[in-house]
Amino acid sequence: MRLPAVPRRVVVTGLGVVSPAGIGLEAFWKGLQAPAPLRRERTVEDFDPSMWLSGKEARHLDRFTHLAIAAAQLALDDCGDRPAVDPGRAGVQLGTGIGGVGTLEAQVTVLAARGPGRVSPFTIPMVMPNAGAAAVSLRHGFRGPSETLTTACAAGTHSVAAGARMVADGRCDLVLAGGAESSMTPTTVAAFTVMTALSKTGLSRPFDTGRDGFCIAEGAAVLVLEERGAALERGVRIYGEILGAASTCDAHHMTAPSPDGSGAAACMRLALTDAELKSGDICAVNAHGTSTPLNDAAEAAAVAAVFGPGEVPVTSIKGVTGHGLGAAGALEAASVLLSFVHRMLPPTMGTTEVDPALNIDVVLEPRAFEPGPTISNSFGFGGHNGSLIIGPA
Amino acid sequence: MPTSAALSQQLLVLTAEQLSVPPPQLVPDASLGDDLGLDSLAAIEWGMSIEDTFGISLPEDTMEHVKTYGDVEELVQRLAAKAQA
Repeated sequence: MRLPAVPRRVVVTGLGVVSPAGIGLEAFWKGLQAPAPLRRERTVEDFDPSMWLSGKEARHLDRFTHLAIAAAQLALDDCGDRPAVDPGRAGVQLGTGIGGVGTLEAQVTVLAARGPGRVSPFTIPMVMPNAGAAAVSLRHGFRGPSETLTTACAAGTHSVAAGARMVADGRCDLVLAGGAESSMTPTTVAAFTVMTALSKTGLSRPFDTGRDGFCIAEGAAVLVLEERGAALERGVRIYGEILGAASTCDAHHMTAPSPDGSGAAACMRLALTDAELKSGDICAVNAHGTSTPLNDAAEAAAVAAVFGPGEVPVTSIKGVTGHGLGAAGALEAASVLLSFVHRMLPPTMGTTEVDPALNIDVVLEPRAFEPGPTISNSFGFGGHNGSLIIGPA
Repeated sequence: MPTSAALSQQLLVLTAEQLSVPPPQLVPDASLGDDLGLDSLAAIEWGMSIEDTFGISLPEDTMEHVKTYGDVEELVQRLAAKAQA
């Protein structure tokens, strides 16, 4: 396969966020410092599809695609004058954990009540996980690669990494990369509940002694990725640079992480190698930090193993955002880039008493931050691990 | 069953909503594809609504025989009258 002699550097020039913590960058950043809500299911309450889609479009697209379209539009609006790129070299990498399961569930009830002849002809194009990527490409006329990675809760991170590689290897000049999720249906909530993954209290408190599961959420985040030279030439604001990424699998259990965090640690080490950095170069960790007993323990073990116990500040935004599954990694990448802008690490809201068994420095209050390489982790059911290293511009 | 005029009005309202087009655009000559932007999936969905609303059954090859909004209106009128008879 053809590979470039020198990989191109990839920068982030636009961010779009639709999250329970807020829509748009200002609201989102403010929301990350607001008290954690006491709610097990976290929807984007003030999201109005009619701001982004015609009534007809909205009816024929699942809500996860609504969120994706909004986040993509916000990201493009944020990247300065729209770069003049060849549409054939403009791509989309938009991950999701479960795709349009809400539509599927609604149509199952139609099938039961009214028979097969009344199932919507739009069911398949609404349910398919790649619908979000397709709808974003369609709307903006992007004719380059348009793909969807689905690695459960690691999909957002893997998608940003995959999008960055499309720019780094010279295939694309502009990529919209991120994740979108809206899969809180009665069945999925029941399923997560019976497998004891969800919090009983509705309080997401990553790394806390009393953590009791995650709070399921919806949301979307999209990053505009461009080649660094072109962005500099355009003279636009550069939020940061994608320095490296990695992907591994625990191959341990379908849903439980390796208890010692070895799969996650391997992933972080590979990301460091990809970024040509040493563990001591990392200034902060944006944790997967779901607030489940098993994830947080394994992740803390991995972070301590790679960076040393308590050596690097660790924050999880899931206290506020909840767990946006396939959107989570993209939301967290946006949070890292905003921490460069504001020179501050957002706190791990919801957490009051860090589990003493975890040897990590959990950020509990907003902390002043000198922007530097930051690693963002995501781990998904299936044992999928993703790590992304983002540096300041 | 509705009268012919009432049926036409009902079809107009249903179609305007379903296809997201302003009612004045729903003239007999309006081409389903070019003027009303109907694609194959939207046509199926529209057909289901028509069948449910008027208690009729559209032939499977309907789309091969209708080109304009007027064609559809005429077909629905005819099938509804037959169903009533």
